[in-house]
Amino acid sequence: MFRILFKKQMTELFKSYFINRKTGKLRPNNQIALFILMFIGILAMLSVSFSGLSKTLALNLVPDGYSTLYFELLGAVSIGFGVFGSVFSSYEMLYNAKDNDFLLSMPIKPSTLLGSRLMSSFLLSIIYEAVIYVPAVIEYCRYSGVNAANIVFPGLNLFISAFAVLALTCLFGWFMAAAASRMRNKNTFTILASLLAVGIYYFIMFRVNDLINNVIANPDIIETKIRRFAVPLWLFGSGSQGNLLHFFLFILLTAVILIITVSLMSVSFIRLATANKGLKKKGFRSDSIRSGSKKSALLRKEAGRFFGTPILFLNAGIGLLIGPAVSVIALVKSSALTAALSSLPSKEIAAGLILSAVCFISSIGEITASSVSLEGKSLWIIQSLPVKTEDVLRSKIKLDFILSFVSSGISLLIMSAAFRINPVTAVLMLVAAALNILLVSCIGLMINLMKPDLSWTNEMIPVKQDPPVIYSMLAGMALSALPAGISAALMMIPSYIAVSVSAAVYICALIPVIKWLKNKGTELFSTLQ
Amino acid sequence: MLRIEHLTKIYGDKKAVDDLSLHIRPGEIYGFIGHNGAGKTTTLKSCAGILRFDSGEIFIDGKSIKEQPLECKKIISYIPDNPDLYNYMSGIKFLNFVGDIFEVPQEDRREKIDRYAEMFEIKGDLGDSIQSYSHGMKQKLAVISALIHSPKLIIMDEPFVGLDPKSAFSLKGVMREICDGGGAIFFSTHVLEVAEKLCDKIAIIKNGRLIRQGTMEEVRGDSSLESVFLELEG
Repeated sequence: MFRILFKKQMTELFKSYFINRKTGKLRPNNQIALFILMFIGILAMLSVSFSGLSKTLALNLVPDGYSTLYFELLGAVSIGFGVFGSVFSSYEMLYNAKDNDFLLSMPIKPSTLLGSRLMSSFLLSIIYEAVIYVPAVIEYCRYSGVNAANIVFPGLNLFISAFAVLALTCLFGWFMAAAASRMRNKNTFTILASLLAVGIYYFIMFRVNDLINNVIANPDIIETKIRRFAVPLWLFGSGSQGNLLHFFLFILLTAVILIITVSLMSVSFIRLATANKGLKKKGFRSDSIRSGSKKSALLRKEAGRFFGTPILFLNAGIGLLIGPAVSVIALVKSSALTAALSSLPSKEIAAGLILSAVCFISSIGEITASSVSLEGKSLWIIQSLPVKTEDVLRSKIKLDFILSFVSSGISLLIMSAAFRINPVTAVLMLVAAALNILLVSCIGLMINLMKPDLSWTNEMIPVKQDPPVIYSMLAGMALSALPAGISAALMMIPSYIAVSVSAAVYICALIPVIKWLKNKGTELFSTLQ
Repeated sequence: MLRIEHLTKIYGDKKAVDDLSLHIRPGEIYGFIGHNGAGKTTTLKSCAGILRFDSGEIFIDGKSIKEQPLECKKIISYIPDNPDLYNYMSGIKFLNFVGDIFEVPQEDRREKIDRYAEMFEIKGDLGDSIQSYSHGMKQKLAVISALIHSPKLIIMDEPFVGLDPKSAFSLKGVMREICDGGGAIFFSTHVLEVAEKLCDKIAIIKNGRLIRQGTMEEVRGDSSLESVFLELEG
């Protein structure tokens, strides 16, 4: 039974890699291999983007004999990243899966169902952790040599700490489910809890340089503090160094935490998975009957889904919140940043860099990339109504564009003021940002139309895990590098020219994408089943 | 009102609907019966413009659903067998959304919503999120949304499933009222007693092919609809 349920979980998570959604048939082996390679490639890219941290810490700690501290810190980061990456997925997967009622009505032990879902969560944890931890081990080996002990102990610790991540993830998930079961408005609670977690994550991210400098300057003090106040982390670091006693103590500690967590969850799983306090009754007021235009109705529908689906709001909307926050921080630290920019070979690069940074942040969450899949089983509504498919698709792009442009516009205005960008260039930056946002929105929609997933059992899958979201995010990030790239390549030309060239490139890319959406895209949407 | 001519729909190598022809006139309630997987939903979805078909034609009020889908959809309503609605909306927001798409004037909309929401006893719940609705409440909301723009043709897939007896009774009354006003209804059902009492005409489909159609008297003769159906299904 466990195997069947686990297979079902895995199929849900990775079905797009194995099943062709158009035909419903298994993909040929070479296509599956290609998809898996792409998945590994994406993980490798993420790993590389995090490897800077390992490089800095390894360079400053390992040769000086602070290897234990090195593993303690990287362990903490990878466990933290693992927990942050999988906590909301686990919560959704465990307690909000749409097939919970169905499966619980079958002769399946709740513990078996729970176990199969925990197993998928464990795999997610290990993937998230490995993104940080694998480059950390590679960097460690660079300074302390490649030998069995340097690979085996840290490698085993990655595996064991994934259980610790699982335990922490489940503990948070259980706490969220328990708290949500007592709330009238689950959505608001989920959004607030998630925003808090995101806030903490970014607070740490923004302070990471200060923290690293502090560690490098005071390794002895930090290590003493860890030994005193974070014993599990100390055991982890020491175990990774080959201290057998500490290695086994870490295993024991992880096992105890995991057993307590799973026991706690088993006792309350059915109650929490089927909890329904009911939403707050609002009643009906006749003045709520209002009329509007077709196009505004379609836009309101898209906005309703975005703001009414916590997992979508948190994943696709995160860039909208980060952009203005980053620009405010940039404004506060403008003198230091201006000094840093003045060290660049040409002051003309600044505008391109700022524009790239704003576009990059905007591309973190892509609303259109899951907007077709999220129609799910309610697709029949829009297909049966007298509305042009083109208008439906346009409303999806419009929502993304409005929200992203407001956020990016605010960021650009603040940054332009902070870095004293001349008004003409600032206006051109706004135009280029608008074109970038439109292009990335259209690409997100295009990819989702090509690879829709209408048969999900949890919104988390199309919003967070399906390929369109990952592909469009990568496309958005790649496109955001363009202004910085052009500015760097044409270093001596005025910045407004570099920005204008970026805008021109975006327009050139937009034309075929819009043409595709109007022809092939509308056709694909009309025939979706 | 609805003319289906030689409709054929193929899934892979299976003919879900095979050369099906039907004609539904204004004022008729047309029942569509058949075993599970016979091709009823495929036919209804094709008529509603949701599903592309391989060959044949469907005309709604003289217009081709292939050539003029928007014009056709303006005068029809479709209610599926499992009304998955927008859970993130409240009932009234959903009705406003449908009203906006059909460009129903505000006063007309208010009158319809008041009337049908009271009839189906859901008025007090319209302000609540659809997420909190039971299956029956969703079905009622889907029915109200289908009636809000006074369609000429309503296509319904198992419309009585999930409705309480009083609402089912009200729906039958509304169906008759629409047809008396010159509209038409094409609906599938497995409840043969309902079909027998409510329908002016009936069509029986088996393995994608229409095996019998006509007025109730023509189809059942002196027997009951149930015995004729069972005999035909063999």
